[in-house]
Amino acid sequence: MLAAVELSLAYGLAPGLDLRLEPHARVAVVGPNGAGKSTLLRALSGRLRPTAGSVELDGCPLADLPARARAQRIGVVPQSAAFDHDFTVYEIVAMGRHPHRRRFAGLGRDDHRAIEGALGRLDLGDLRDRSVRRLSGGEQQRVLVARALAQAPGWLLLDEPTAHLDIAHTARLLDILASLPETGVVCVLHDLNLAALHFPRLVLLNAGRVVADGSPAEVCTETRLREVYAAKVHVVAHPTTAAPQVLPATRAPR
Amino acid sequence: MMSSRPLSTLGAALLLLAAGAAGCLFGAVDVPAAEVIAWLTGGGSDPRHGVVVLELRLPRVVLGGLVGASLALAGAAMQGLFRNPLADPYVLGVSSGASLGAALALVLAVDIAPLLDLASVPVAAFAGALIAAFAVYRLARFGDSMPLGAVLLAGVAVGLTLSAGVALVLLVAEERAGDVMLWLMGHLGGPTWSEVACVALTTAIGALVVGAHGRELDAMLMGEDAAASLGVDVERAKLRLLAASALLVAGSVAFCGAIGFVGLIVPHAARLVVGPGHRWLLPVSALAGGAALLLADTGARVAFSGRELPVGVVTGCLGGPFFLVLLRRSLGRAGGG
Repeated sequence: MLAAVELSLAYGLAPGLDLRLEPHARVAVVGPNGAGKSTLLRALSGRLRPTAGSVELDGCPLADLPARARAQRIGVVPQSAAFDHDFTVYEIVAMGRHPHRRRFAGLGRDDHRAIEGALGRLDLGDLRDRSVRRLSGGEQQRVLVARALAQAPGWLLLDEPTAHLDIAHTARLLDILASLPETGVVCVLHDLNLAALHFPRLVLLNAGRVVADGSPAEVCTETRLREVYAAKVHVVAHPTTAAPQVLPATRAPR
Repeated sequence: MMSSRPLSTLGAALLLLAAGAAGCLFGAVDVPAAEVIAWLTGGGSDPRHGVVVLELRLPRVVLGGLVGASLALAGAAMQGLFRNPLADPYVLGVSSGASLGAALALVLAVDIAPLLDLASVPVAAFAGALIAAFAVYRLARFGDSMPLGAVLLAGVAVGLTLSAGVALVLLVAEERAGDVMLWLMGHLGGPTWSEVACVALTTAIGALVVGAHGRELDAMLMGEDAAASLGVDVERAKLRLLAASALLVAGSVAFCGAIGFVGLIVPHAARLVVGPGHRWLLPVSALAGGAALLLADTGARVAFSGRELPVGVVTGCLGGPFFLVLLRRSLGRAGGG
């Protein structure tokens, strides 16, 4: 279980935040710009030191875990890649094995299996020897997800992974995230509709506070969204899944 | 690509051997090749040639290989650490720090205890290099980012300040200024075997520490947040790499002065051949660095027959323009900033 326990940070979140994520949970963190979504994700990854309270992984405070042990259990997918060097796709994904390898050790059988598994899942097999600098934004995003999967973590934390993707790649990536039975997924999304469509649980943040936490239908009500986003919206049902979908209201004449 | 990397490493090793051979064969005095080989393999005929080969050229060649490897490794480590293609111990003022430490020790040690010379100069150089490296690192860092310009400016500022300190030491210690001056320009001439052994030690320790952090350097090229999420203890890795770089530079500067741009050029050339991954980049840089400095030094000895050019002048003449080309390219990529 991954949990924030009375968590306070130096900035970004209201003090005393509580959030419990059961093993294998699939959760989207949503909210307006500046609500603290990325900050919460960084805290859950252990990258931000709490000023009070803690983030706990299976009961153990993350701050007490060495970087290596943490990386064996939590994988992070950043919003965009800083690929300035001509590493191949394979080399980048292989970096995900770093926390599992001893110093000076080569890639073992487990490493190869994890790398191949991640490449296959993200459909990167054909690109394995290509330089990551020559890939499209969508392909680079898939490489980052594959790198995190190669870590074989129990938890995958993603910050706006669909920000640079078109509608087809977005759907594919979110379907892949839904197909990882052994992995808990926490995904920051600013698109409420994607969140409601692809995740069984939403955590709605506003001004650094959790203002709603539950199923899409529980979280996405017209009154609550109007309050949080300060905008009038309509909530309708998705034509095939019936998931709530949010449409902006407009005063413009038709 | 994969199978060409071991081949490239082998090629760099052969290049180093060839450069070492050239360093033993050529010089101010003409020694027939057969004599050189005879003396290197057990015993030649003319003892005067024996002195030239075994006591002048061989220690110089070994020293040149070690110093070139040290500087290239330090350059590769700093380029990874600062995520900056223009990082180099000379450009970032680390060599100046080592120079100031060494100059102070050189001038002071004469009066205190001549016997401590061998240890005091490298130790003082190490202290100076450490201070400079950490100063540049702290000054150039803003939150989680180290802008290219900030790194270079911090390096220049620290370097200039420390160089002024060296000038001050020279003024105060007038009677030794000539010696110190020659040494400051960077030269490989006339080392004793105990000096060579001392550099071998710093090179070995530095190479071991840097080499042990190849995967960390790879990960840190992705940014510190990404490296941390991949299980790198970023602060600890940086501390070790900065200290190891300072040690490599200090060993070189203490006995050969500040030799510029080897640490800049060699890792670049190596990266073009074996790619950015440090597993191959580090050994190839070390081997090619030794070869490059030996070739430069042999050239400097042979070019003006009779008069020897300090090797630092040669690497400076070659490296300065190279640095400018890289700077233009990097600024172009960063959108003019």
